[in-house]
Amino acid sequence: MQKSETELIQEVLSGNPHAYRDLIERHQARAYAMARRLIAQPEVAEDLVQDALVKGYQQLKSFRGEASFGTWLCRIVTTTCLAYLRKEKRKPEHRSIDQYQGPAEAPEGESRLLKGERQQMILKTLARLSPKERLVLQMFYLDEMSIEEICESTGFSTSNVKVLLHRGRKNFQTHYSPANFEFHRHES
Amino acid sequence: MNPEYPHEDHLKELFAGLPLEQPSSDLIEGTMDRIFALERKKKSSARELKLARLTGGISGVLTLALGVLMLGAGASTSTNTEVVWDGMTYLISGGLAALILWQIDTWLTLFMMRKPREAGSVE
Repeated sequence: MQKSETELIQEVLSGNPHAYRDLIERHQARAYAMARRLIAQPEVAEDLVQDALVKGYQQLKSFRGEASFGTWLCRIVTTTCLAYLRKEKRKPEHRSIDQYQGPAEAPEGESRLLKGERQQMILKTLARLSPKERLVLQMFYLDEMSIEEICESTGFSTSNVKVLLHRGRKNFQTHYSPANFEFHRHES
Repeated sequence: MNPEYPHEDHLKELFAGLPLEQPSSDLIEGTMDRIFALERKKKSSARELKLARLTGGISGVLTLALGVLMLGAGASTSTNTEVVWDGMTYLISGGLAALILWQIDTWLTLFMMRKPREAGSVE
């Protein structure tokens, strides 16, 4: 029988680091998805998620169980990624966030509607948004999270999330235009 | 309405099929390797600290014993009322020396045993 998260957390806290593996295996996909929405390069995103998972292990004592473990972990991932972006921004050789490409390929069996050019158009439009806008927009529309859940997972305030959502929506609608993309001109 | 220009209500529908990229299998393995390395480091640091305290304690006790011997020597060489003051001076200086040496020894041991920060460690 699969152990509950509370049991696994107790095991880790009582000195069994192996239990942490089971714990993070359940949340790694969500944590990575969060990081990829903020970070353009997949390998950097993975490194940052690893940093966040190690931080989670070190700070597990401070986990009070007010939110779920997954939400708590996602918050660490968000703060780690945002700290990285801040640090990168200060570097003279800072590369633009517009390099965001989104997932490389659609897995098999994806909705036909979103395959190909339309999907590329969505990803390119998302690339034009700021990392925070991109993150909040996808959490709200793709993950179908409530504003409250987004606040818990990111550490942003309610008003901040609402502003990011409004701005992200507006920017997405502005940039999501066939005229912005070469292939649509060929189509018509 | 032109579906290419999404209305707010269409965003959910539009985003629904976006693929979710999966992390590589190295993510968990790499994380666990780092955690085990941290655990090993924590255990060895605890051992080192214990050893440092032990050696510091022994040297402190030896120095304190020296202070007591000095007090004894002071007492045996004094034949008048100054004996109390001489003894007290020796005892205080011996105790202070023990305390200072104990601390220096602990700091030195910890300093000698410290390890360089691991590359890529968490801030």
